[in-house]
Amino acid sequence: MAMSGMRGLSVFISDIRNCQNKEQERLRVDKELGNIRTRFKNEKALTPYEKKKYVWKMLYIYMLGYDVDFGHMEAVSLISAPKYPEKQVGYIVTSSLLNENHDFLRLAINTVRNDIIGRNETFQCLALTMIMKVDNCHHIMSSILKVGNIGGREFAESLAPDVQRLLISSSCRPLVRKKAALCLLRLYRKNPDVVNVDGWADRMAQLLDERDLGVLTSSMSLLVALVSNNHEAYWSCLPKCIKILERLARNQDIPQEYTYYGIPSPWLQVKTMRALQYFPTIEDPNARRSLFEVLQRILMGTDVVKNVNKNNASHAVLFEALALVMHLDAEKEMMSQCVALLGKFIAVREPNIRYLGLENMTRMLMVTDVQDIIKRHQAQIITSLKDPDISIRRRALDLLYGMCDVSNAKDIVEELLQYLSTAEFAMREELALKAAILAEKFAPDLSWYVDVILQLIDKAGDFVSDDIWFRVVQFVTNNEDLQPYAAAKAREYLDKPAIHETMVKVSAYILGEFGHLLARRPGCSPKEIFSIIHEKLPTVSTSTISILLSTYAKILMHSQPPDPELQNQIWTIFKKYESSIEVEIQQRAVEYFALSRKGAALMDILAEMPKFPERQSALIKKAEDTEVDTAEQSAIRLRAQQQSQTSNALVVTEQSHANGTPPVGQLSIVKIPSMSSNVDDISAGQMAQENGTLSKIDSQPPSGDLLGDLLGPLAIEGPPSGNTHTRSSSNSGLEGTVVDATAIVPAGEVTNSVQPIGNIAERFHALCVKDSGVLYEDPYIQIGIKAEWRAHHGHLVLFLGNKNTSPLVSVQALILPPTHLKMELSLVPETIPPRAQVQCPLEVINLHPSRDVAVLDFSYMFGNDMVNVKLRLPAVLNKFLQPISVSAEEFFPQWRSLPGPPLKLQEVVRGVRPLPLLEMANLFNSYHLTVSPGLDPNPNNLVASTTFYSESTRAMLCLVSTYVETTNLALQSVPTNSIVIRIETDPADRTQLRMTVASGDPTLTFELKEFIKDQLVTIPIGIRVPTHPAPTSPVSQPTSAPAALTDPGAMLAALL
Amino acid sequence: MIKAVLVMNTQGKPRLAKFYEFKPVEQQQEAIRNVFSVLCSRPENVSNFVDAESFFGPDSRLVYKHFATLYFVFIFDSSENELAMLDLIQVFVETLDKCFRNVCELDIVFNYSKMHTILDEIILGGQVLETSSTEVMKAIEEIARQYASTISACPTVMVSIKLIRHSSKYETKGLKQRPMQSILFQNLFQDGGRGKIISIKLPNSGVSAPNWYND
Repeated sequence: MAMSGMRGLSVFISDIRNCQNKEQERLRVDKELGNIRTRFKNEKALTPYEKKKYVWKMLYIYMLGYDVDFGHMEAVSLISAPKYPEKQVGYIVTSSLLNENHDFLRLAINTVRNDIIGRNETFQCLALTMIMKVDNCHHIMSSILKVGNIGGREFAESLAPDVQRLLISSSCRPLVRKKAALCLLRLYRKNPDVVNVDGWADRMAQLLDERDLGVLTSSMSLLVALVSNNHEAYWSCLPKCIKILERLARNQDIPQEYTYYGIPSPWLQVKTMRALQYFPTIEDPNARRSLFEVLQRILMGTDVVKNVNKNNASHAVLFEALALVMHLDAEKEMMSQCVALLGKFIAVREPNIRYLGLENMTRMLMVTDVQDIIKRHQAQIITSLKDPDISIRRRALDLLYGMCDVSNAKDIVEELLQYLSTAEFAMREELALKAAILAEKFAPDLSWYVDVILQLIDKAGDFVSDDIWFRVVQFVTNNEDLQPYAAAKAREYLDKPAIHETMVKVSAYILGEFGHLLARRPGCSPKEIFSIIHEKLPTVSTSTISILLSTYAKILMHSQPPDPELQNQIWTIFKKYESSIEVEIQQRAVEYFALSRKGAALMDILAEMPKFPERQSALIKKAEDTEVDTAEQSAIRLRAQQQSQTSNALVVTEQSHANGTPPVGQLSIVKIPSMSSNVDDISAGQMAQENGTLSKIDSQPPSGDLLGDLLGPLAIEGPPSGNTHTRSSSNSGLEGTVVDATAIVPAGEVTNSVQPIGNIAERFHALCVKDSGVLYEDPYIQIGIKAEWRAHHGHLVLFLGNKNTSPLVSVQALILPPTHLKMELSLVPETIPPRAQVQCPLEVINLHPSRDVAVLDFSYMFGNDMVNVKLRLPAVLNKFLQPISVSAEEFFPQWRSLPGPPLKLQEVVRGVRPLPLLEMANLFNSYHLTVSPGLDPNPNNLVASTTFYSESTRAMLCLVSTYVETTNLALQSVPTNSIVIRIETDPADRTQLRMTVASGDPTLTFELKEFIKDQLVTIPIGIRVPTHPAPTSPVSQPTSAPAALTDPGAMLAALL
Repeated sequence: MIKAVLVMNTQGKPRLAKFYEFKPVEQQQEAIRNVFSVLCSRPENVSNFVDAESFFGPDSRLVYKHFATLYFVFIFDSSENELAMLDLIQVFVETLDKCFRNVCELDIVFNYSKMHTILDEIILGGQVLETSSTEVMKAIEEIARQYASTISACPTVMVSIKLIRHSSKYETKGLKQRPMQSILFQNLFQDGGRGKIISIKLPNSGVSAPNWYND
């Protein structure tokens, strides 16, 4: 061995080692760098030996973490040295240092080429090494190559034949050929065209006959890369792979030096089985049989032995064989054999095998239905949670999480809870989240769920996110049976000496709402509950104080008859916080104080919270999202990585996914009205500020994502479902006219050469009853919409998706709002990048009732085509309605209290599309008009009620407090916005009915009456009442003309 | 593919850092620090796997082996088999051992360049190049011959210090942190002809170095 022996280098390293501290080291390094710099200035005087020495020193300094910003030129120049040692050093050092100073690299390129085509094999080796290095940072490479006037791809193309020649040349030594194989792999990754599939597939198959194991291993790596991209072309390699496997595993036909601890080249076995996993399946029964024979041998013939290295090697092969068996979807018998093996592994002494056993069991869960067999090992897996190795504990947690279902949830979650108190911090957050998700997904009963979450908060409060406790509150509110239990539990926890702030929040909330249910129990009088909650107030943060204030107000409300002492105490607190610096607290204090002086009226205002609408748990959603991420197989990811390397745009994309999407998700998280809805509005506002959030359409839509259903259709692969719509719309005369009427909207654009896909009017009508969907689509663009409506607020997001591989320019979107809507569209970017999607938030505020419709004037350029469309936006009257159901006792007094016109209007509507009563009721419900069945004694009549929100009513509500139960209030103290409707049908003639609408506001009554009439007369075809999948056959109606006239969109369009 | 190969001592000093994916020097150093902070807190008799996604990004795995005062760390993605990577570390170490006969930390400190050369014969651009340590040795010897044919003009004898340990070095377990009991000089390789001693460093108090700057 003679490659070393540089005295100066050794001395320098010694000096560095002698340094007592970092400062000394830095001084020494600086001195050396100064020295090198001076010596390099006079390069001519340097001997090659000296140059080599200094360059090594530079690499050493670089490894220590110092920036070396000079001398690269010298390193590169060594490459072209005629003698081997300098050349070798030049190659090694350049490749390590070159990342930053790539400009110098182009100097080397010619030498590299010459070395490759040259005759000297050792030089060839070095040059091949260099290509690998160069290619390592090929984004830099391509810029260099541009400078050097050769395109990156061209370089790869021009070099590839040389490299291929080296690889298949029989005269070349194995040492060169194996490097050439890997080098070709590298070039292929950079530019797949370098390997001409037609010619290469045969060569590849020939290469697999290679006897030299080194070359064969490298070739196998190359094959893995090739088949992962295009397995079709390489079917001919499949039998060869099986043969290699047989040769190694069965015949052990292999030179001594490739036997590693008695195992015939485990690496080659592993790589071969990897390659086989890229073929979708193996059809040929003979091949399949012989492969399974080998696999069986591997599975059965491997034992855990004493020698660590032998163990590792044999199990490397074994685990790869397991993966292959899973991939091939073997017979059940073999599968259960695999699980049995894994069950054995997770109990062995050898930690590596335990680790991989658990990991592979988790993988097995995803692939096949062997859950029951895996469940038999539950006890052992739980034991692994206590393993001394955190890596193993993590895998055990993953596996437990994956295998949990209704049958074992109780055991597993309780195990997790127990483990939580001893787990290290690094794992607690994950543990808490997983326990919460499992508890929710598989809770056998709800009280158990409450127990689990409260325990969770108690044991690991810091790691319990708000989502988790919001969810508990939601469950408790929606389940009356649960309320006393939850309240009692919350009360119990408050007795503990030190509790986490999250626990204070959740207990205070629950006791405020349901504390009165405990009134008879000892220690649960309003006063006692108040004092125990109030004890916590000095220690909590402002967000909790606001919750506590609400709780006090609720306690006050529930203590009837009022307890003067308690009242005074609470009033004093409200008074105190009236001057709080926090606006939220201040407002609550002032409002609650004012309200609580109203005496009995307080009962109505602070009534119990209404039930929450059923929503999918934000937690589960989150978990599903991450699962989608992790479940992706390596092959897919590999490809994605390669793609991402070629486009920088994707980097931006990922960030915007991370920052842009979650806020939207957050909005849909369980909402607790008491949690200051202003905060949410602000965050929604911020969302709106971050306009033009870019997000790229991935080849795989983020399916678990909230926006998934929207993005899904946007992941454009040819024209989506539009065709079916058009077909169904051409059926009836009535619908035809509707289409005509609405077609006026975009009709002005005769110049448009672009035809929309699907029916615009139909899409609009569908969106009137749905909150998300596609608003418009043509061959170039798709506009999706997603809306959230809260009272008189609407938060819409427009998704502008470019379906093409070239950008859309001059994009313009203009909102033409009717007078009753305040609309604000965030900035729309002028260009939409290829295959990207832009999100534009749109805020809507409803000022007063009207049937007019807002129009979006949208235009863009594609190539030379200017496309302009005017689209109605589904911000229609019924979006500001919120369904309420009323009882007969409430309905009729109200009905009577509204005397007649203009508050109560009646009209006989003719030409109604005949609908069975049930279907009509469904239609009403879909417009947020709650039909109360059985209220009207006549079975042919329908009565419905709803609440309407506009800014004026909202203003009143705001005054009261955000905490107030709005619908109750709406009914009782602000009758202007509650609406009651009565429909009387004639069973003999279904085409006519008498409709009576009543509300506290004349305009509202009129507008709503007209709105409903429109809907009844021209029931849009887009709507399929959800509970009735079978559509009724449309019958043509004579009333289409007036319908067209009253169509607000058409009227507006006519004005335009 | 393999993303990085790190060799560091039990005090966190890097002895070799090779990144097969581009990383700026600060990020390299940060990665080394992160890896060390995880490794140094791992007890004995645990697995050789560590979750690396937090500091090497998604789809990263890390295996390591602990020999005497050194950690050998491979970071790679899911296209590689974990145990096979562990075996490759073993091949790397065995090859170093063949080269240096009873390799110790000082060998690789002073023969930094040689370790690079050996690694380059095992891993090429993040792909496994050779798995037989015999074959690697052949390649290294060939390189050495190339050197010999050109450097005969400059003969030196490299003398380095051997730290002798007691247990067999092929075992991962059982050999960690044994105090180095004696020191001996070992003639490592000769370039032929006359040689002279160029550097000798005697660790003053065995392994219990007072601060992390003394290896």
